[in-house]
Amino acid sequence: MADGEETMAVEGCSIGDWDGRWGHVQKFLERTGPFTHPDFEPSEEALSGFRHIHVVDMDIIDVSNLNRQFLFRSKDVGRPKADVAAEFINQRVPGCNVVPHFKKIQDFDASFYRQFHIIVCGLDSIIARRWINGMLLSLLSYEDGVLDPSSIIPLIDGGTEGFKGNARVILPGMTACIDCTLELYPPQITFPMCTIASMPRLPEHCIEYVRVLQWPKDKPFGDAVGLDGDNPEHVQWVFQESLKRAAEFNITGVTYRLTQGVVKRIIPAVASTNAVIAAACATEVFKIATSAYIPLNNYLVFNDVDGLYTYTFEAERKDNCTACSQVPQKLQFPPSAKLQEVLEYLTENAALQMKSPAISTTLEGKNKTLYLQSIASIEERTRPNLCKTLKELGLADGQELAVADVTTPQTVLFKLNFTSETCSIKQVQN
Amino acid sequence: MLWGDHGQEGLENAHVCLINATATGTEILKNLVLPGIGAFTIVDGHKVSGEDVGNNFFLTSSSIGKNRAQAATELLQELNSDVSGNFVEESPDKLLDNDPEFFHRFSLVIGVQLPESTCLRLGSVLWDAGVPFLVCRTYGLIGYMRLIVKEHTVIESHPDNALEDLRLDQPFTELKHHIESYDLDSMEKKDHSHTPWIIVVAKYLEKWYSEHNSQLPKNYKEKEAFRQLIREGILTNENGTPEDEENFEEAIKNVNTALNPTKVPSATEDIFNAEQCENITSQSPSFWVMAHGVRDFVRNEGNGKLPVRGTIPDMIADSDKFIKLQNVYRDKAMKDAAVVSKHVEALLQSFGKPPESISEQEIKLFCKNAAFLRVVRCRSLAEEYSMDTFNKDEITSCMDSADSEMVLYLMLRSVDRFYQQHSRYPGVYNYQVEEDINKLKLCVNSLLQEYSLNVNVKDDYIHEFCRYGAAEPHTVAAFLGGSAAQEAIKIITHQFVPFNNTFLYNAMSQTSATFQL
Repeated sequence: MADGEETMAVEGCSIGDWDGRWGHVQKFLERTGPFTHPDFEPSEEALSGFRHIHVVDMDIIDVSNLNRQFLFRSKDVGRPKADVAAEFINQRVPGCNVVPHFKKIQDFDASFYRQFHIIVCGLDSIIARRWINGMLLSLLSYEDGVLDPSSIIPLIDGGTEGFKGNARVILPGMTACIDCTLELYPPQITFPMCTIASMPRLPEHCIEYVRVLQWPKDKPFGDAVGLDGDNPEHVQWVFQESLKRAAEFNITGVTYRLTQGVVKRIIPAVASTNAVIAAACATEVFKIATSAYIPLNNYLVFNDVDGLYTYTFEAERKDNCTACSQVPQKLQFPPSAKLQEVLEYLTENAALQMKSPAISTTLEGKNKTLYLQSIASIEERTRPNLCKTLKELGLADGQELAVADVTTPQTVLFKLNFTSETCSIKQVQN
Repeated sequence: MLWGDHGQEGLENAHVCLINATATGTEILKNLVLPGIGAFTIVDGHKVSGEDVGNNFFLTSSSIGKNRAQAATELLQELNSDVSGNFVEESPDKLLDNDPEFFHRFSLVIGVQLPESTCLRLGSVLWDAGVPFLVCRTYGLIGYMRLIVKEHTVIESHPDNALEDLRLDQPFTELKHHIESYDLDSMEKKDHSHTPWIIVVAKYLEKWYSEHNSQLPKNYKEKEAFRQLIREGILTNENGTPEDEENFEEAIKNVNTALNPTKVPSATEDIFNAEQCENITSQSPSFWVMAHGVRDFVRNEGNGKLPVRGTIPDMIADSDKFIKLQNVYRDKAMKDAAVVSKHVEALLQSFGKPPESISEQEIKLFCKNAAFLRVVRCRSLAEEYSMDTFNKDEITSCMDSADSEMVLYLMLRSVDRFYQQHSRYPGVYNYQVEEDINKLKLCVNSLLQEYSLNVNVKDDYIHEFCRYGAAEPHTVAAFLGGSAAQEAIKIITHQFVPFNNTFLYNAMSQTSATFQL
């Protein structure tokens, strides 16, 4: 949702300030203290707060956002979140200049991200987190194998779900990155297709059936019209059909609200948890920007279902992390393995969890796409390769395979190691 | 939303009082106004200062000099037009002097950045009036919350990892019959592979009983053997390789929890044994009347067990088998709830109260949550502060670790002492810091002495609390804003469990702790 660049611009007292404006912050910047960061140097130079902030958000405001997103009002529904947030803050906080970008984070390249001192995210998917994580890793520069600290852009990441939340500080190249801790994220729950198709038991199964199988078949609103969870007519149709399906199986519990929740993949959210995690993240931004205190090292978990519970720990870097370890990734398969098996490994392995990897390699000096899913014509052309063995495809032991995927802005290089035919290492999904 | 329609209704009928529209206060209110609290009233006698505008999102420079309650109400009201925002331009001390009953009308009073004396006065009034009181303060990088409520009952605690109520150790008659209707050995593969794991476990339990003197598998070794027994029941193909029977895998995975003996959880037992449950009067809240009713059920028709909950988790099974099994549990739950209803009705009648005073729906909800009932009792401030009843053990044992969040509590008590003596907080101005460190140390020592607390408060903390100069940084205020608002929603909706009773947040280390003081 929000990426930010902050500078503590140390100028003279700025226009738009008033007496006492920085009263609550001053003490932390002007005074020494026993718990400050070893690098901290108190200063009495004029303060100006965080002035330069860029916000990237691809979403537009929905009425369901209004119960917790305090920068938006009902008159703003339909407008880009980034624009409205920027307008509101710029008006409410004099001197602050928020620049909005109604775009996906993936629409920007390294030259955009390089300009920032700190990046803060409140993204709604693990894929997006992995992408920005990869982007910041790609900005790191090494001299003689030593990381240049000035190329590090700290990443502060917050996430919530209901009454649970977490906040983490990532120093790319130094501390655990998103991919180092991929196994921390619980598997996203999806319903198996056979349950949806022929063995529904819960009202959710009935709704999924209508959404995934019946809608594309019936095309109730026209040929190329996709299901729009924000269109009440669409939701109403799904609701009615779900009731019929549920009745066939004596399943109770299908309601309009449940239908909407399933169709829009709504994860319940409250203002309070988001406020807590956002505050924790902002505290870390402040610490990092001012060196006033040692930043969180490096992961905070919060849960207020029963009382209030926090747990703070240091997530460890993974030695062979695909994103940040720079250790060449290995793929171990017998030459008789089919490309399909490699594809499955890339998507199912707990440490990789790729979504739709595109595999290419260099054969006879030329770049060859082995399989690519996201462009229909290429998918069709390369699909037969899935049934071919690695040997048939002309791959050799030690061959480098380049894998691109939405989870990373940079291609990941894998080294293919042929195992002997008799002992094939089956990659087991956790 | 996460508290359901009835919770939302509770929220929309609530009227919350906030004392002091500082950043902490407005951040709390923001998180109550957005989800639609019915009404709020801000009580604040202060005028908006430049410092206030600097850390408070709900004040602008144009409001400097105006009454802070009024200024904040305007910008908070704007968040949600369904909420009724009110303000009283008065200090809480004045109201306590002239009209303490003013506070009786609120569902909850939230006191922010209050001096100790005001806090104690207000605490006493609200305790006697039975109005819940939530004290919050941001002091430098420290957040503090204290909840004061005599007795707070929770039916819907929504526990995170609740055990299922399957009754496999003591199946009720209808369940027994249903299990008997299955004959796994004569089933075709399709049916065999789509039999609910609950049935599978029940069937193999019967086998186990016949070989183990009708005793449940008790320890790890026996449970392993039981799992193996189930595993041997997986169908094999012509070559002897086991078929892919996910329902059997589910059965094996669930053996650990499925065979837990059915019993009344201790928290529920405590509720049954509480004085309020034993002695029902016409004044008893419906929670206790229903508790008594369920207790009667447990001691009679329930044979020592709670009413059946009636829900089962989703599992691999064909629709028909699953629905039928689910209905066995649902129907039993309805039957049990009806019996509880009879007990409740009899109780109500014995006080001349109409049976409709507690609805069927309420009783059903209560029965469904019988294993998750909670009662939270938070001590009064008077008890916390009194020389006779303060929690010496808790304070002393926590302070065995010098950096425990308990030291933050002791520092807050010490700065309050400083305020009493000097009519200001330590270190507000740069030139005061050095001198105040020594003065604050004297306050710390006098506090520890007065309470005979043989603990050591490191000088670092005394220095740090002087450094804070009673500042209220926005991000710490916002953290408390989210935390406190959710506790307020818990109090109002009686869903989820509030903390008991002192919460401390350290933004330097991003750690927190809860103490019962």
